[in-house]
Amino acid sequence: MYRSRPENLNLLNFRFPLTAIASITHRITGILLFAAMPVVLYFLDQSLQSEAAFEQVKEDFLGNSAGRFLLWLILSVTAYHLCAGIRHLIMDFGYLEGLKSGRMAAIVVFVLAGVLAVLAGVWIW
Amino acid sequence: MVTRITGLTKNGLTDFVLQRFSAYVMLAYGVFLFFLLASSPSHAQLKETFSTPIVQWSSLLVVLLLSAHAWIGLWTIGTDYIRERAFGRFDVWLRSIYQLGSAALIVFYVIWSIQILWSS
Ligand code: HEM
Repeated sequence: MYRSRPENLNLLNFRFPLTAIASITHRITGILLFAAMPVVLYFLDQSLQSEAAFEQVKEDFLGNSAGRFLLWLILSVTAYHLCAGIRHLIMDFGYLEGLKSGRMAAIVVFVLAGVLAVLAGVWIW
Repeated sequence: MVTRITGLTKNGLTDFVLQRFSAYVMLAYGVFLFFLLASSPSHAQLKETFSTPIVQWSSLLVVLLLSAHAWIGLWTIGTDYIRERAFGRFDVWLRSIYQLGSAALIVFYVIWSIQILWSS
């Protein structure tokens, strides 16, 4: 492979198109989901432990605003990664890859994830 | 440029397919989880659900596929950013530490998951 290709990745030079923002957000939500795994596993662990632990963990997460916010954040991040992931899977089949359709799909992903985040909020609060 | 290939399967295409396959399976499992949670289960119901062999083994499968998914994803991110351009001659060192850290976390999650799934 050519080893000395010119590269310009000074991020401040770019104006980011919507599709690039959709892509980096997918990446960030992937990292966040990975970071959230201990919380999810802790939740499952406590829920299965005993009746008392189940009530306690429910109280810890749903009984105060910090816990609710954390739970909402995890659900919203999941919603985004899921929607953007499905967009990826559709693109695997050769759709939504044009300039216009790609942009449109990015918008749909943002809107859909937004709606799901609101619904998650309604569910939790 | 990153020349060392330490993805999950030593083959980019296999990694790619594995990341897609795991995404499909997690989607299906996600639907199951959603309906389970939406039914506001009691502790007894949850415990009963998670002590059936089908749920235990499919949960384990999902945990393993998720680990592959996360490994491949985190590796991609590492090789994109932890590079010579940004980190000079320390890049391989830093990337190795990052990779070891990710691997350790994934192993920890898997062991914890097994413990949760089979202790109830
Ligand atoms: C808790 C579970 C999950 C975690 C921790 C996770 C994590 C990640 C990470 C770190 C990446 C790498 C992002 C990148 O390379 O930019 C990624 C990529 C991806 N994820 Fe997930 N993910 C999870 C669930 C899902 C689900 C349920 C889907 C199903 C729609 C999905 C679909 C994808 C796809 C298609 C990619 C590849 C994107 C690409 O090729 O650039 N993920 N995930």
